[in-house]
Amino acid sequence: MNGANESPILTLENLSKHFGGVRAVDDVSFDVSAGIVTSLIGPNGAGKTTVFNLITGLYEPTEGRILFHGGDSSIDLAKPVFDSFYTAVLCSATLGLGALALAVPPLSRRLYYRPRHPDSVARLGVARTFQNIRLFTDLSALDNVKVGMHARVKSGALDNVLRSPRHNREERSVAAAAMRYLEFVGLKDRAWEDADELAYGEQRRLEIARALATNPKLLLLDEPAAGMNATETNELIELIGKIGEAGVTVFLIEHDMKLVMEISDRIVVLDYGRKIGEGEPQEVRSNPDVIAAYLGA
Amino acid sequence: MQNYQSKTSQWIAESLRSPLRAVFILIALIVAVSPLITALPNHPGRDYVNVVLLCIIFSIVALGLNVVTGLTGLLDIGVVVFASIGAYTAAILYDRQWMQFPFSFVVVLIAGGLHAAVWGLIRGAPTLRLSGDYYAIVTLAFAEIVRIVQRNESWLTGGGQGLKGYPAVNLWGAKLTGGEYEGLLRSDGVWRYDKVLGYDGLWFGNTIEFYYLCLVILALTILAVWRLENSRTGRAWLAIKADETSAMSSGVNLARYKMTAFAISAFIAGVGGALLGFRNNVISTTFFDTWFSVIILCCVVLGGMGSIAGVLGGTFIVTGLSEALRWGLKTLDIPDDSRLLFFGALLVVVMLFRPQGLITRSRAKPTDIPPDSENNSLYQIGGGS
Repeated sequence: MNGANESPILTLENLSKHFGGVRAVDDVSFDVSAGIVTSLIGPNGAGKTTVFNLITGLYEPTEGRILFHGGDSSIDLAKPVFDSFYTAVLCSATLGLGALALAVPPLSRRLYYRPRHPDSVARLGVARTFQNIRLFTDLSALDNVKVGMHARVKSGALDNVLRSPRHNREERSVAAAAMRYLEFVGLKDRAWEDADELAYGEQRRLEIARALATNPKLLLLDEPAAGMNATETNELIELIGKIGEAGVTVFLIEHDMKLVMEISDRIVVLDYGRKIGEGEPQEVRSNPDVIAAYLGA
Repeated sequence: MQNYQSKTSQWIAESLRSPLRAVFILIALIVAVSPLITALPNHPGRDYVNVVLLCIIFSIVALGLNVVTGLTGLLDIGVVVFASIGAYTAAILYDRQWMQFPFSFVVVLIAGGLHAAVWGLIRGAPTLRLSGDYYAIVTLAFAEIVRIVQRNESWLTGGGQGLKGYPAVNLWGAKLTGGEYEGLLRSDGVWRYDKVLGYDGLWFGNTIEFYYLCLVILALTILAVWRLENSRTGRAWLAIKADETSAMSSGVNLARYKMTAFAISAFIAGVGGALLGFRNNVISTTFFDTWFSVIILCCVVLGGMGSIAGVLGGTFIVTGLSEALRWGLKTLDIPDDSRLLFFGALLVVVMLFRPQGLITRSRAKPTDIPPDSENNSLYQIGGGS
């Protein structure tokens, strides 16, 4: 999988996120290349998860651009988009007066353009897992994966109530495909267990299955090996390899250096919100700034 | 057909073994036949049937509340808004001359539900970003605003007096006639509906037809909520309830699905409220007050949030107990409002020993998933390889 396709799938340009006086992410720029595994490392509190939250739309950047090249053209995920739902709500709540604002571009830009929602980012083809596992705990493993496929089918509430042909067709293929996603991560036998009854490592893999179910082009894994034992970590390495081979670009945050060095084609290092190093594993390992950040010298 | 029959017999055998389901079937049977038995002349159980009818209608409202509180996970203490809007809308429409046609009852019910749904959306839109306590406070405040408006705009709602006296017409728009009780079937072969449920008044809400209509509407509501729960929409709601952040990251449009939940919940509660108006033959803000919301919420929480069986069980327990206490306390010369104390105590006991409610949402049961066809376009990883 190495070097097959070096064009970037994601470009961060001068990305910053400030929380009051805290510069959680400060002027960070780097590329994530398509088809290889990129890792984001750094000491605790370096701003790694903040970068993920910025990419997936959970946070709005203070500054900078996040260019996603997954589709036909590049899309800036950080740029506000026209929100037809809020427009409709505001227009109807103001008895149509809101529509006047649409005619005044600066006004409509402030009113009706909003930060891209995470579900929109997911639909574009960026999926993620979470550092502290966030499964739908009272749903079965299968249903968790089905929720991941939510945006890829269309049946609405009325279809669901009337059990329309579309509903039946979609439910059948959703169930079958969800089962295959579970099979892919090795959880087929656990499909009917509630998510919180799965073992820790299984929960991590279920989160990956749910993310894969959105059919992403770019998969963000936030510390996938945290809390895993050696066997589980090895299984995870194998799984990430399989995902990469299937053609999904993997971008991960990880503390387990064994895993990082083994699977990464490229590594980006953050410290105090700033990028302090970038390159192939060997380069990064010998980078004096990185060593200083990790050893506190 | 063979397969279907064996499935049915299997279900019956299973039901007899599961005590909970057996109890439910028993209650359903009693609810289904009791008005027929108590319709016998001078039967002492007529008041009891009226209480069962109240339980049925409260169950509809509670199932509506369950969509927002039990499935989507937003605490709503203002369900009275939708019930009262449904009731007022249906009553005001039903009173019009041009509404006196066969089955106009169904039309005003749907109109009441739709009007409530509109207010569900209006209340929902600004609260989309709220959750937990903040959302609950908004629902409570909104309920008070609506109640005060309903109390003061007397040109429309009758003010503090409320609206009284539905037109005495039956389901087919024919006048209900007074006179002495003649049994269910008159000698001339016409069914009689008045007095059947034990009151002397003549209005549609007091006919045996109305009772069974409520039962049918309850059945339809159960079916609709169950179908929603076990489909794409319900999964999105449950995902939002479990974790908003990861629901969004999985592609669930939060605003859209919350609004869907608000509208559907308000519609069901609105229909329930309209039925309550018909049953009581009077609509006023003393009935549709904050305590109404609290009692319905109590039914849902006590029975088990998100579980249809739980909501039904909780409603029958709370409403039945409420009416029993009302009667009991009256005979002891204690003000019947003090029955609310018992609910407080009941809720404390349930929350102590069974915080998830009496019946929890049933777990997913393994079912056969038909083997996947090779070209299932939904199964896709990467560009495919």
